Parts: sequence; structure tokens; C-alpha cells
Amino acid sequence: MNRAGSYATFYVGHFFFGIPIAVGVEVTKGQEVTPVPLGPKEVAGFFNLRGQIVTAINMRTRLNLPDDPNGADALSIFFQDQDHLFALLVDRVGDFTEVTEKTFEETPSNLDPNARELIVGVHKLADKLLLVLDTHKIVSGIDLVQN
Amino acid sequence: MDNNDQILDEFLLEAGEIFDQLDIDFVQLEQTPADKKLIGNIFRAMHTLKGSSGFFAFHRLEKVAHAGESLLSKLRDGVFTLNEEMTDVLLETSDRLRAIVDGVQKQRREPEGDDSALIQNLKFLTEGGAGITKTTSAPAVAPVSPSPAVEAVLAPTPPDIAEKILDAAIADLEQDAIEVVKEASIDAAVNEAESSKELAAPIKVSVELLDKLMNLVSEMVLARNRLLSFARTSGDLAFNNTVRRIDTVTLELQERMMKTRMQPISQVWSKFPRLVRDIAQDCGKKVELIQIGAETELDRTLLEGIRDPLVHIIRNSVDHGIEVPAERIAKGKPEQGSVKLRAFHENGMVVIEISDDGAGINIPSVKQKAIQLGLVTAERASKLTEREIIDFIYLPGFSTKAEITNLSGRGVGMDVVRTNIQAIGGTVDIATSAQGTRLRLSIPLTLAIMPAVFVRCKQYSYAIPQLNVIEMLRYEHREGVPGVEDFYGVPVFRLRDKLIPLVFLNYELKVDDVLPPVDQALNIVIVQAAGIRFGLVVDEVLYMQEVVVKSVGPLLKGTPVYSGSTILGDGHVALIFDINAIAVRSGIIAKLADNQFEQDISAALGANNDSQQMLMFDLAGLERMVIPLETVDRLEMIAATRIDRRGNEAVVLYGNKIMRLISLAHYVEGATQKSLYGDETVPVIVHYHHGQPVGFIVKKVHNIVNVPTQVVMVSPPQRGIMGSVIVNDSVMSILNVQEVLNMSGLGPHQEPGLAGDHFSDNDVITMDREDK
Repeated sequence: MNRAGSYATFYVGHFFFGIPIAVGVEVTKGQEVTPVPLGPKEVAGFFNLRGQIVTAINMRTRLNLPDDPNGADALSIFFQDQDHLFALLVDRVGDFTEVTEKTFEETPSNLDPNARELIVGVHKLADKLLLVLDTHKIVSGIDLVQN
Repeated sequence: MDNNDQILDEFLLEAGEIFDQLDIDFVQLEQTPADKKLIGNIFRAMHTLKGSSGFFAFHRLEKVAHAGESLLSKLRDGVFTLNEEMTDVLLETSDRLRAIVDGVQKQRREPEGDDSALIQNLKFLTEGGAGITKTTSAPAVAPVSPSPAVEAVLAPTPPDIAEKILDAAIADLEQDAIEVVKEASIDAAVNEAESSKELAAPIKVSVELLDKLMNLVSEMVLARNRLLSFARTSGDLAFNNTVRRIDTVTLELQERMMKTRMQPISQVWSKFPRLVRDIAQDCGKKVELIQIGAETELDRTLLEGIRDPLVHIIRNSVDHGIEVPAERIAKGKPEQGSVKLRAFHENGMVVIEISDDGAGINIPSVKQKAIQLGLVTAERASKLTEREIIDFIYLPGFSTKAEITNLSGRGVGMDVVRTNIQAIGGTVDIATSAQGTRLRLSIPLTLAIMPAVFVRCKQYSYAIPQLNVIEMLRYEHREGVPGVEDFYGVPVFRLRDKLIPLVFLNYELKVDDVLPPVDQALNIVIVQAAGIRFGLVVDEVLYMQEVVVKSVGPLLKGTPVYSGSTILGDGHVALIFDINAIAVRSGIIAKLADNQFEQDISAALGANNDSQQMLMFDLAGLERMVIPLETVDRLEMIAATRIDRRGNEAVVLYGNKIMRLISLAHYVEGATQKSLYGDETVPVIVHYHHGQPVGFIVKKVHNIVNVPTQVVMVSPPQRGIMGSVIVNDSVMSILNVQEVLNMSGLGPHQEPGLAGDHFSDNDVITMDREDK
């Protein structure tokens, strides 16, 4: 994965994440999600984006974080994987950020193991750390048979 | 893709079509060897291939096609008539050409290989030889030696006098033939020019483009649905008219678009004449293949799905089913067996029947094998019905064939057939006797759009494929009537004296932890899946609608209870249930296997001779009417928009028949008449009268009640009412079906029904029957 480039950024809990905009990112808010009883717990449900079915993934569940007490109004950030559209439900969407190779560092080893498998590395920005997510692993790492 | 690649792809596509046609033509030719037109077609096909291969410098292809063409030209000119030997060699030629083209497709260049044996055989036949022993078809990369069989035949042929005479005769004939051919080819050229003027040349459109268009149309349908909901609340006439116009155009667009996905079933069948011929020859049998309804259309994706099952079934029929000629003659059957393929539409499904006139399934042998494999004890097996025994052949690995041939007997046939057919939403049914076996596959027309029943669980709506839905009912708890009961841990419900297991959807989906209290009213959708019938308890039955099925994506692969999703008119997503998976998940299938359930329990309930069953319904202004259950064939909900007028009658398209609709309120005294609104859906009781469906429009359908046979006559007689009965201290009026039919012009002395009338008058109940 190319480490330099543009990232779409967002917050989940106290983490600051980025996914490369090369995967085709789009941001919307206020989507009503149809939940999936018996589905994997990370799958918040489905919604319709211009006639296409989007699978919404609850990033707090995916990262093993507790539910946001006042996070009723989740935002979603889209990308495409295996010909299907996915959306990440996150707490807050940040700016598009341009980074260079220089600020990149491998994943710190003391990171929560659950988050580590999803994180490619970090960019040390002036004021905070930008955790770079692997979008494919977010989807492929979900345990499909949970019930 | 550069230009050359594109031309090559076009060539490959064309070649594929040519081969499919060649297979059909060759087999046809064997039956009518003198058909000049057919030979002409084959000749032209070979010629086209030769020409194209010259362009691409495919030398093998060119040489083989050339040799084949030479023999065909002699056949066409009438120098020889086709014999079986020639057919074999020509078929081998066609196979070889196909193998080479397949190689080109994979490697983008012509594969290496040696065809000299085949070419020599062709030349030998072209020069008037006879008596080649069958060459083993040389693999694509064959050793570079001419077939020894050909040498053996070629070498000892002395140039004797007989042959010289023959040669001379042939030369003469050729002279004559050339003249004839000249004329014929001019005629043919003129004919072709004319026919091409009549037909606009069809164009090829890529499948991706069609799929994209299909998606756009689906979206348009959804946008239209939203627009319609705006129009309902708007008073603007011009706007509403525009919306209505968009509505009709969209509908037509959708229908036309669906048509582009439809392809005739002959696409799959075209390979079968060759298949049957080859298998029959390998088993030393004589079998003809009859095709009826090859033009029946089916969704492209479904066609793919039925190809393999059909091949299995046909193999089974020819290899297992049809007997060898001697045995057939001994049984008094014609020496030549037949396999009949028949396709037709029935109730919105495509039915494909494959019947053979062979020996049929050997039931005792299947039973024996099942016992031998430990699937069933000998004691239990003796109690099984024929149908249950036949079910064993669907099990993986089950084969009664003693030896494994390369055709069948591996026991992988029928379970693959059933799995594949079920995967595309179809069903398989077998009927067998000593006169033959008939398999019947019912397949939905398309998977992309299907009718579904929407139900509500909590605040969300879900779709149930209408294919699975048998009926919908509402149960209200009443004192003294058994409601939900427990049968070995399965909640059950009595429906017309049959026990129906219940699955509580909220509980099953784990959105509710507890089952509802026993006295609560239940909305039950009776569904059928995996061979059993059960009731799905939902919070509410909403409406029926055609839905565009969309994938649920990769994350629900471990959640089989959903088969897809669809976008609702308001833009929300609704999930579509897989009823089979729900049945499996709920465990009722396993529990039912342990406890024999399917038995009719009416005997156990002590069916009361003094009462009969009637269906209770309401008319506007007149509640608690009943109609004898034996006159009720089905209950339907029909949208007023579907109702058409024929003269002064209201009719609706019902399956493939036209159903006359009768508004009962017109004919029953005391009911108030009410006209229908455009967006209304009305309950209709369907009754068959002389084999023709007649629909009674009512206000509301309730449940089935047991009423005493003792009828209280009404005096003075009320129009449309036969009498009254007293049930649980309330009075119910019995509908006089015959009188209503008479009044609406469907009297008893009408011409007995149209085609397919096998219903007797008995299904119309009369006064006399009531009084006994």
C-alpha cells in the first residue's frame, strides 16, 4: 500500500483514522439503516445509496470499543471492496489530509491487538497520530458465522 | 483490447454459434440424409469457418475445414448419400474444429496438433471409399502417424474393374451435378438477398451493458414509486397526469427490459440431440429425442442453471431408463426409445418435462439399496410409500447401478439435479412406471424480479418470496377453541384440522426473547419449504409487491436466513427471507423427522359428522356470511388496478385463465354496494365453475368455522342466501352459490366449460345436498 497520498480521515472514540481516498471514498450522513437480525454483530445493517445496497459496518463494534453514549447520529464513509459497497459508521468525519512518506511509521507494537490487524501504520502529524486503516481487512476480518 | 483482438473475439463468437448449429444439423441429417438444404447449410458453415481461418492464418483449422468441405460438396451435389460412417467422420471433424477453436480461445493462437488421420479419412471417403473402422478420436496433440486403420483399408484396395466403373460413373455424375449446382447456387443467392432485406440485422450487445441498463431500470422503478406517493397527496391535475404517464412508460420499459434477459430454452437444448445420439450409440441403444416448446423463454442466468441438471437427467434417461432394443421388443415396445423434452409456461413458472418410455425406476431395487446402505431399516422400508422410496434417489452417492460406466452410475446425478434446481428457486418432481419416467422441473421465469409478500416484524418490513407462500391468515383467540398447542416441543396450530407447526419470527430472529402469550391474536403466513408446510408468525402482513432482488453482499454469507434484499418505494432497504433456511434454522425439520407429523389428524380429532366446514367472510353492511368450504378453491388478494372490464363484466387475469369477478354485494340481500378505488386490494374467494375460475369479491375473509348441518331456512327467502346456521350463539347466513351464479349469468345449463374441463357439477353445491 502506498503510504504517501491523500486520506479521508475520521474519528472513532479517541482514535483518529484515515483511509486512502484511492479506494473511492464518499461521505454522507443521516442514513437510515435497516438492521440485520442474526447477522454478524459488526454489521449495522443495510442502506440504499442511489439504488445500490450498502453494507454498513459499525466501527465501534469492529474495533471493540464501547458504544458511544451520545453517538446516535453516526456518519458514514464509503468505499468499495469485492464489487460491493461498504460504509463505515463513525463518530465524526475529519478533513481530507495529504501526507508524505516521511511521516510514516510502522504500527506501534503496544497497540490493542484487535485494532492492530486493521492498521497498516501511522502518520505522525503535527498535532496527532493518523492511524492508516486497511479497508479490505475491515471487511474480510469479520467473523461471518456468529449465531 | 486492440483491433485484431476484437476481430478474433468476433470470430470466436461466430464459430461457437456455427458449431452449435452444426451439431443440430448433423443429427437431423442422419434422419433425413437426402435433405439438400441441410447439407447446403452444413457446407456453408464449414466454408465460413475455412474462410475466417484463412484470414487469421489458422492452418490446422483451414485444412480440416477444407477436407470436411470437400466431402460435403460431394454430398451436396448428390454424388453420395450420407451413411453412418460419413456422419461419424463429419461429427469428428466438427469436434476437431471445435477443439481447435477452443484452443484458440484459451491461448489466443492456434494450438499444436496433428489432424492428418482425420484428413485422410475424409479424403478417403471423398474419393468414394468405404469401410473405415472407427478411428479413436485423436487428441489435440496426436502422434504424427496416419491412423493404422486407414492404411489397412487403403493398402489392400486393388484398382479393380468395379472401382473403375464406379469412378467413371462418378465423373459423369459430377458433370451433371455441376450444372445443377450452378442453378441452385444462383437461386440460393437470390433467396438469401431477399430474406436479408426483410429482417433488420440483429445486433450484438454486451451482457454487461444489458445488466447496467437493467439496474438503471430498477432504479427508475423505485424513483417512480416515490413519485407515485407524491402524486397521491397532490391535487395538481397536470402533475398527476404526468406522473401517470411516467408510470405507464416505466412499466413498459421494465417489461421490455426484462425481455432482453429472456432467451429461448433452445439455447440449452441445441446440444442435446448430439448428446442423446452419442450416449445411445455408446450403450447400443436406439433413442430419438423429441423437443416441444423449444421457443419457451427463460431468464439468461437461469438457463445456465438448468444446463447441468438437464444433461444429468437425459443421461439417466438414456443410460438407465431406456432398455436395449432386444428387451424393448420383448416388452412389446417400439425398438427405438424416445426421450421427450417439453417446456411450457404454467402459473408464472416455466415447466420443463423430461419423459422417456423406458423401464422406469425400479422401486424394489431402490428400496433394497437404501436398506443396504443403512438409510432405513427393512421394517420401516416396508411401510414407506412409493413416493418416499423415490426420494432416496436424491441422496448424494445413491445409485442402483451395479457397475460404474463413464456415463452414469456414480450416484452423483439426482442430488446435483435437485440442489441445482432448488438453488434457482425451482422444484423437481418424479413420476415413474414400467412405461417410463417423467421428471418435471418447475422453474421461476426470472430471479431478478419476483413477487413477494411483505410482512412486518417490530418496525421493519421483510419480504417473503410469494413462491413459498401458501396462504395468510389471522388467528384470534376465542374461548373453547384450541389455539396454539404444544406437540413434542413444537408449537402447532390447527388449520382445517391439520396441525401446522409454527415459527415465531421475532423469536427466531432474536429480536424478541419471549414467545407471545397464548391468547394473543396471531398473524400467520403459511409457507412451504423443504417439503414441509409451516406457519410463520409475524407482527403484521403488509402487502404484496414485485421486488427487484439485490445481493446482500459478502458479509451475510454466514447468515443464510436472507436470500437477498430489495429497495422499497421509500428508499429503505428490506431483507428477503430464505424460507428454506428459516425452516432449517428453527429446527422444526429435525423435530418433524423424529415425530411423524404429516399424518392427517382429522381422525384423531374425531371429525364430527354432524358439522361441516365453512369459510366465514364479511360483505359491506352484512357480516358473518359463510360459504361451504368445498366450493372454495383458493383465497386471493387482488389489486383493483388489475381488474379489467370485458363488456359489462369485471375480469382479472388469473394464472393463464381469465377469471370472472362477481361482487357478491350485488347479489346478496342486505349488503351495501360499494365501488372499488384504484389503489384498493380486495379479498376474492375463488370458486371453480365448470373448470373456469370465478372470483367472489368480499369485504373481508375470516377463518374457517365448523357449522352444524342443520340449516335454519329463512322465510321469506332472502336473495343470495340459502339459509342460516347458529354457531356459538351467533347467526350466520350461508351464501347460495348456485343462485349467485345463476343471477350473474353463469347458470348450471351453460355449455359445459372450455378446454381442460374435468370438473364435474359436484363442485357446485345445491339445496338438495344441504338438506340431507
